[in-house]
Amino acid sequence: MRGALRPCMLQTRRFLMALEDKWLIGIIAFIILFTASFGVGLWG
Amino acid sequence: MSATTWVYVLLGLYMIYAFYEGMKGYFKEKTAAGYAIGGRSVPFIAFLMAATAASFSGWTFIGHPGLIWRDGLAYAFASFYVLTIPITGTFFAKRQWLLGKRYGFVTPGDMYAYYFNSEALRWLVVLTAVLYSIFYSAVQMMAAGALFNVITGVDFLTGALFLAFIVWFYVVTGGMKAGAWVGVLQFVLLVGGIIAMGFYVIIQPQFNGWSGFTSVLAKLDQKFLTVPEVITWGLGKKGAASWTAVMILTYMFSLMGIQSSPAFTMTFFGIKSPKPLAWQQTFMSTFVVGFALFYFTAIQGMGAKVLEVAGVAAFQGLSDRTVVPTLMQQFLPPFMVGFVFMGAIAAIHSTAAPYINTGGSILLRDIYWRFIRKQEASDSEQIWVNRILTTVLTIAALYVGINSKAALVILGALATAFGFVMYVLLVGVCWGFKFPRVGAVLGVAAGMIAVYLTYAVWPNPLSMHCAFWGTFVGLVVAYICRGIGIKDDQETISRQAEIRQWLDSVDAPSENGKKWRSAMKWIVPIWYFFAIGPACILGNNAFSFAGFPPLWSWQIFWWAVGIVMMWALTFKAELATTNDEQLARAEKEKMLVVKE
Repeated sequence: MRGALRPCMLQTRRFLMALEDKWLIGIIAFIILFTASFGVGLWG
Repeated sequence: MSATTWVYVLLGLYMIYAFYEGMKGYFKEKTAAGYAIGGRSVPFIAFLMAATAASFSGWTFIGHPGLIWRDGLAYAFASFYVLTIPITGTFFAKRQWLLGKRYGFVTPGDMYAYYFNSEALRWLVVLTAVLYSIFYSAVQMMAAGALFNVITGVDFLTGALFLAFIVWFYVVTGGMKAGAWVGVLQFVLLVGGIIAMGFYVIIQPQFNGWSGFTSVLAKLDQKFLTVPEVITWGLGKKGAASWTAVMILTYMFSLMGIQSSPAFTMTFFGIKSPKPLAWQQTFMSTFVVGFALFYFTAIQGMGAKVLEVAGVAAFQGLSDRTVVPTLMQQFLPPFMVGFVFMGAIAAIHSTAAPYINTGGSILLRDIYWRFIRKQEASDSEQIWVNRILTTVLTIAALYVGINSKAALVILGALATAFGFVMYVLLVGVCWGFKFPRVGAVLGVAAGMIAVYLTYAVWPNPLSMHCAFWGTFVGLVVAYICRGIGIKDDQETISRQAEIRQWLDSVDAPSENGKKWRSAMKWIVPIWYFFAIGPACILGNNAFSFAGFPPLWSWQIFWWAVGIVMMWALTFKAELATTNDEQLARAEKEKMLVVKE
């Protein structure tokens, strides 16, 4: 069981390590939300 | 209080801060390098914000929205300079810092002359730096005078002299570090001013909200909403330039010349460590300034266009220079007039300051100290002569600005293109591109001539900007010299080998970094091709979101992709990051070849 999970765990760990750069994800999310704010009528 | 009163109040506060920093430097900086390059100790936050403010001039604040109004969204591609200006720093800044630290270079002339073993290069770089300092600063100072005149009614000349006096004073007293600390405030004012101006435009009731704004936008003549064509064939004709896809691309090359200019090389020498580089390039410039430009500057320019087409009286008979002042007068409450005005002044001063400062230092070190005083001048003498030379450059800039408008327009625009020609030398020094000394000298000289010819005599051949032609010709000439078998002498060969060996060992990427670098060799050109290159014409009708016209949507999309690309280049490919071992080695392994 452990052996089967290992690649999966490694992948998860790699993914989480990439999240070290959370600020980048934050920036992209901000851009998407900000752009969407025009579309949903927030700017009148 | 009236708008004019707020202008004076905020200007007064700004002067107090700028003069305080200037005087602090005056009493603190006692060595030549302390004055000229902040003693290689400009701190993280000061560089982060000041270098960003210095990269974006008064042009960004006033000229850029004006040209979006005049030429439409095709010109708005120029906002991509939030990425193309700092990408030059990504390629070269850290390695220039490392070289400055090890060999003790103070000026770019020191670095190029040592690497290529040629004093002729020093003179070419001095020429570039002086032209850059005088003409680029002159453009800035004249813009300040014009804006002051429109907002407060003070006559143009008095305003220009008064505002030039402020920047001269804090630069001449405090040197580079004072300029950097004032740059921190200027960055906040610059970005805040652009965003505030755009915000006050879009909330105006005339537009009937965003949906009203975009429905009018969609009805504008197509020439304001599309890139006309990929390329215009033929040798350049006067007045033939338009924003073709390749013009957009090569105009961005021109702006890549800002961070390769001699002034920025000195700024890179001046920082305490390369730690702020990745953050300046990815976060501050590409993201923060990009946010201001891609939304709010575009809103200013296109907003003015919509009001003009709608027949609003105040927006008839505009010119690209009067767009922003008109928007300020029409839409801003009194305090915000003061705030946005200070944003413009901050943009102007933050660019003029480093150019007159480094211009003075380059004249001092490369001519006065080296050739007139034969490298024997005390620190105090160097500082005082530096101050005199900075003053001379400021006066020259004012003189040129006031007396020769035609030359100013030509040479101001040539400055960034000349800066881009420095790429010929930088790829050699930083990355070991191989061509002989003669090739370097002739390449730069030929590049400068090519810039001039493709600007003034046959403007924009194939609708491509003179910056491209300059560097292209420069590299071709440099490599022809190699191709025909010109060889360097043994001293130059071993000197270059020693530098290459040290740089490659102190700045070797990790295994992971290497993988990212090989991926980025493909990703960066692909990004250039689609975002600002020939394929940007697809943006004319590719997709549209949140009401933004297709070309605007294309720009926002590729800007967001560009932020990720810059993050990958600077952090993941390790082009702009450092580590403790590298810093320790840079500190320890000194081999000074230039005296202070």
